[in-house]
Amino acid sequence: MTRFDAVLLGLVVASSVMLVQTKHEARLLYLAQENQNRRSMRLDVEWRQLQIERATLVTQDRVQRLAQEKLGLAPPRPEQIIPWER
Amino acid sequence: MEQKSINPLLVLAIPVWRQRMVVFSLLCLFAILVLRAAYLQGIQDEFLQQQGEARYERQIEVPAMRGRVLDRNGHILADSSPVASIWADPAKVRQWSHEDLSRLARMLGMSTDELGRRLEKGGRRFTYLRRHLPPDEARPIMGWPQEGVGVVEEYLRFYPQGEAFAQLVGLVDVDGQGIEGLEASLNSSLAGESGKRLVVQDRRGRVVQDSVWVERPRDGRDVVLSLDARIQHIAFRALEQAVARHQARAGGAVVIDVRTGEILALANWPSYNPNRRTGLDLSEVRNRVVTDLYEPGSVMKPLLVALALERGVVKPETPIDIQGGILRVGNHSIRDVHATERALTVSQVIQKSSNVGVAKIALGLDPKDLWRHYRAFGFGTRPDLPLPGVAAGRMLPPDSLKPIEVATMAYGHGISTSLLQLAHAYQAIANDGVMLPLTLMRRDAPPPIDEMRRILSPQTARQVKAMMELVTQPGGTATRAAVNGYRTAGKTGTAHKLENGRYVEKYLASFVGYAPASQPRLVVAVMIDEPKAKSYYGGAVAAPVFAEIVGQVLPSLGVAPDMPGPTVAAAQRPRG
Repeated sequence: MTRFDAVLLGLVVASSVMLVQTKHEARLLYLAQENQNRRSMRLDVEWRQLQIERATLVTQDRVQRLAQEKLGLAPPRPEQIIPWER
Repeated sequence: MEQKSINPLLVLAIPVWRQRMVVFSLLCLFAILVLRAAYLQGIQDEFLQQQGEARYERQIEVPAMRGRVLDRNGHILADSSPVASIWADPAKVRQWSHEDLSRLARMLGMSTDELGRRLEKGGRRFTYLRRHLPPDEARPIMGWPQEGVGVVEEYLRFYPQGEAFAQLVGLVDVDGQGIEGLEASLNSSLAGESGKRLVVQDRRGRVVQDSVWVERPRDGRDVVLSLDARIQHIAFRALEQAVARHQARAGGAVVIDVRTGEILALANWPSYNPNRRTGLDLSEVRNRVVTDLYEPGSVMKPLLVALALERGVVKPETPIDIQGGILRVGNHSIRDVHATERALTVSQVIQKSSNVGVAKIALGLDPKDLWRHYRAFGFGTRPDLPLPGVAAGRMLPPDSLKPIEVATMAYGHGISTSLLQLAHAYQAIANDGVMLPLTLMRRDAPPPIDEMRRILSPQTARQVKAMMELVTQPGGTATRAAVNGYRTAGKTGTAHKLENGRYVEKYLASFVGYAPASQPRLVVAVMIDEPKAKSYYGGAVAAPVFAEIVGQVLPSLGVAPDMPGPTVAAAQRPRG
């Protein structure tokens, strides 16, 4: 057995250990990616639900009612509107 | 004899027993493999096949997300949200241990007793425990160790704008397919296409391992409408109040942008809440503005006068003898409701809404020309809108028009139209005689030139507009269509309703007009069906709704008032 053979053997062993290590890491990363995918889907769903909720909160009816009842606002009368040209 | 190089191994004498031993042990190993294979294939095959089937790959369908319906400013009119429903097989769940049952109850956020009641109440083999949960909350159920519970994932449609848009936007059925309104007519574009995913499922059909997409789902496309949620709400509320005030049966209103042909609001009453779909009444689902036909009455008069002006038969100041308000045509007589003076100018005929006046003008016209003229305004032609049940309306055949038919057509009887068609005709007049195609979709560019149609010369259109402005001024039939700060114009209509071919003592009050009169921006058409309290005239019932809508919408669109009004000083005066 030459020294060269010994070096090769060492490299083979090291490479196989690294292969195992890389495979393990790949598996971990895959799991992490899957988790993130699921999270992203969950957030998408939540976003969509929030959009619907916001749409329900900003309907003309509701805003007008709140403005009139809670804030005591009223639609401007024509004489209260001052138009000007830009 | 000289030996060169002899491998020492070759010289070694190997005993025969050693050779045989190697061959024998190899054969033994081989025999073990054969026996093992035979055992698996022959004796244990059933068990293994079961195990294999339990973990097989399968294509499952992944539903596409339905597109949203948005108004012109991006407000959501309809949107879907994924939800999960938890079901149980009561027969199986009842066999669970008490421990498992209480664990499930805890998961569902209910007491064990309540869970028991739910299981009793539902079907024998299938019952919903919870419906329409956020998908996250149902997740633990998906991996439930015992058999008997599961999760269905579905989409639920939400309509944040509620009843104001109910008939227009429509509804979807339990499977998420459109069945009413735009949801139905635009279904193919909203629905998208479902995809397929390859997954590994276990014995109970649970997804054990996600794998690749065979085909990704193509989500439905969003639809951006020309409608403006603000204007729609203003129109809907104004309509609702008027219907209540006059104890009417129903009502409709439509708002069109004069310059683009876009429909900005399309409201109906009665309405329903599309988010609660139990106990739907068909009369609430109908989009009356586009599907219901009626005899429009006096609203048609400006169109007739426009033709007479166009043909040079009369001028706005031509006097018409209205003969005390009665005109005999054949053995029928036509009467005026508001008759006072003996002679009216053509302008006053419109202002006072004289039936006799327009009938006399009509009798001086070629019946076929009149028929073609009405046809050009779109009557008897189905408006090209993506809505179910859009009505075309009816006109008498042009070849056999009798004088009495011509006379009644002049004041809008013997012809049936939808409110939308009337509004469209008025769009052409307000736009100086050029009719634009109507649309429910937002127009980001003006409509193509070849789709615009000139129906009246600009001069004629302006003369008719001047007459219609008189209607809302003192002395006109619709002084209540006047709006503070803006000049308005339009025409009232009060039509007798036909039932089984006879006119009955039921009325349909309408007003179609536009504003600001100096530079028309909106056409607003209002129809109130069978007003009962006090008055039933278009000027008293429908015109105030027009004024209400115009008075609120124009300022909110930033349209400058065109009527000289109080000065700035008045604006700064504190409210009384």
